[in-house]
Amino acid sequence: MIVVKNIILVLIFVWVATGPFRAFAVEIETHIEMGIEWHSPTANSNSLLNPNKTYYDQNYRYHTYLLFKNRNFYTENLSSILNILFERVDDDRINLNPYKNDSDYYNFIVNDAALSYKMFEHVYIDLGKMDVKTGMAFFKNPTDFLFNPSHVSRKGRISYNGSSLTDPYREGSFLAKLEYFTSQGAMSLIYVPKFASSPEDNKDITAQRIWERINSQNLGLVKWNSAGSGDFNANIIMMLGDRRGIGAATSTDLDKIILNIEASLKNIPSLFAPSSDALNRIRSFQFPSAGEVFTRRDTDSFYFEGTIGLDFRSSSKYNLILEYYYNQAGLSRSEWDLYFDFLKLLNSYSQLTNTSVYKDYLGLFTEKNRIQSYSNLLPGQHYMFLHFQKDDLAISDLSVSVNYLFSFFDYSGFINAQIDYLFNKKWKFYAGAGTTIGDSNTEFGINMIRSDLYIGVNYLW
Amino acid sequence: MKRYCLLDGIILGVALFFMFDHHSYAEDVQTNVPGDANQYVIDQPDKEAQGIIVRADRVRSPNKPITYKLRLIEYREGAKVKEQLLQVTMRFIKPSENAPGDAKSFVSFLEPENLLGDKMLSVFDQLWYYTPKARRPIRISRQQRLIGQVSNGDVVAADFHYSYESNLISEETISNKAYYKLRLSRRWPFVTYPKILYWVEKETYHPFKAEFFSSSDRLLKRAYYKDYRMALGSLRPGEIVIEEGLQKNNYTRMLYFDAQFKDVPDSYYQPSYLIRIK
Repeated sequence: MIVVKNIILVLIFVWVATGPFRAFAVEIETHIEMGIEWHSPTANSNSLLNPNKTYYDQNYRYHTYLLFKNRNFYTENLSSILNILFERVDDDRINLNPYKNDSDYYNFIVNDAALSYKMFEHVYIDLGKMDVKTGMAFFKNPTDFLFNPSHVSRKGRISYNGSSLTDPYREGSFLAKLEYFTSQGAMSLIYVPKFASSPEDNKDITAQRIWERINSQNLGLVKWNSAGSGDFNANIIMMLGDRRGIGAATSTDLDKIILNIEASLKNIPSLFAPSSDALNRIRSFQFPSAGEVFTRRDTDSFYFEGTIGLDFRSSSKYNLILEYYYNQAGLSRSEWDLYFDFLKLLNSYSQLTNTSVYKDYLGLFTEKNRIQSYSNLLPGQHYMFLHFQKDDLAISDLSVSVNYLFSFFDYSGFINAQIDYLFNKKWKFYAGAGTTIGDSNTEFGINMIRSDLYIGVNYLW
Repeated sequence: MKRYCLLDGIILGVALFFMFDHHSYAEDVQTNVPGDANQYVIDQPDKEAQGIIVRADRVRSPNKPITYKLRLIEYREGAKVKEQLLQVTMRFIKPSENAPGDAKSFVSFLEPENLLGDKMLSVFDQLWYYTPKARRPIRISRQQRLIGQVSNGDVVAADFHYSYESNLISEETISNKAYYKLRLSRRWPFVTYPKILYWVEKETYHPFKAEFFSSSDRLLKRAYYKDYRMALGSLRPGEIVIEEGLQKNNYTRMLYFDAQFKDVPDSYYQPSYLIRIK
């Protein structure tokens, strides 16, 4: 009942808050999407991150959400966009929420809130909060330099750690964007100012929060999306400011198969690897500080990231996507070995002694694992992603999809299958299941949740 | 120091822009083609067939930029199962001695509600799809189906002369009317259908029927051009019915209406602009 009450309150708030905008609008597009999901997760008791289900032991949860999507046109040249997410998640994972520490929590997140003005025939300016996404690959986009966080709630439906094609939960950054269109392509200049503290400012990994990645650095983006080069229409993007990088993406049609290639060379915001020095000190019963357990990658260095993928769509409504993803900044084989040695040591010491300090150290790893999961950062170097779907692109009563992500490091992975059924234009039902593959000392096998069954219903208004 | 880097980068970006955009917009408007469009300036070996196909193409679509609404209704076993409403803006200009042709269009999805905001772009052989959820346009293939028997290529292309080499193979009389029967073979692999048999009314050059075949000569679809009515200054088909090859009860009606002559700047026909289209 309290959920319904909150949803009504949010609707009233949003309606009133957007009233002045609607009053001046000559054309209004508003949609509200509401849904509820029931999950039945299975805790992974063998996980080195969750020994004896210390951090996670839940077998039931539900999730209610509301998406408010609004686009107003005030004049021929002025428009606005507003996308808001309100959700309630009932989850017992300790410190699950990057925003709060309660197990049951509400999120009220403004994904987009921006004004768009057409200055001249071919020049646009956008101001406000916007999710600027770039890239051509389905699964991971190395040229998506802002890579704003997706929210955790429905992530498991698409893939365990990765981004998805249709994830509606990407929070935008506050930015100013100038875009100029010619028949040869579009040039965009984007400025993202720094408002929040940077992840690099935090020495301790536990202080690193997802939301800090939004507007946590002064960034400038220069994008050129080519449109006049026949089949070879490359997108080029350059990032300047507190982080720097350059990237390119292109695609080509190989007759029924689309080939997507995307690569970048850039500074990374933060990536932590376990410290061998800290491990040795713990082995000799010393206690390194939380900030010494992990070493951070050199944030001034440039790291290569690339995706190559094939997208096959048959005339009989089958879609198969196969993508390989490489991330130079990911953990190397020796670092993974160190990572698991560390976890095994902490597990055995916490069982042998009564002191809670080793559980606290273990909590640091749990936290790190969780942060990476939320932020779409894959910790390793080599991954393969497989997506299969049976439906039409635009409209379908029944859709079946399977996603499989696996690591080349230890061949562990995550597989998820889902079925979507459209009752009518308003109601949609979906159900699915996902499970990790791999034993307790593998990249995906250490996750706290072994598998998840879910069903959901969604209403579009 | 980093502020200087940002400034340097913006200057470099502007320089890059002018480097890529080396010819002016005015020139682009004159030619209206992407870089390698000259390959589409074409000639037919069978001149009689060429005359027929060009006239039939002009019945389907005038040689000027237009916009129209298109309702797609899918039937299975004779019963209506699905419906979509699209707004199509296209520029199909045949090549001439003075200027190469153009073949671009974009589609806005108006119904059903869950597709409102979705867009599709076609630039010669390239096809892009934008959905607000994906936040970026993605490349798609022409074979992918929109609804029922209708593929992307059926919606965004209205010109056989560009895409097919045609041969007049016979003349036939159907219901006391004389028709040209043409065999069309695709010129480029990206064209949706490898072969087409095409019937065009001899007196009016109105398209009557088309049969679409796979490369192994399997009948894929059959199209009927119906309901000729005045639109854009001449008689044009108000409806195209596309039947599944061997299942006549499975078909899709394509209903055309609200057609107008309308041109939009050439720069609108690019993936990045899809997000801006109303």
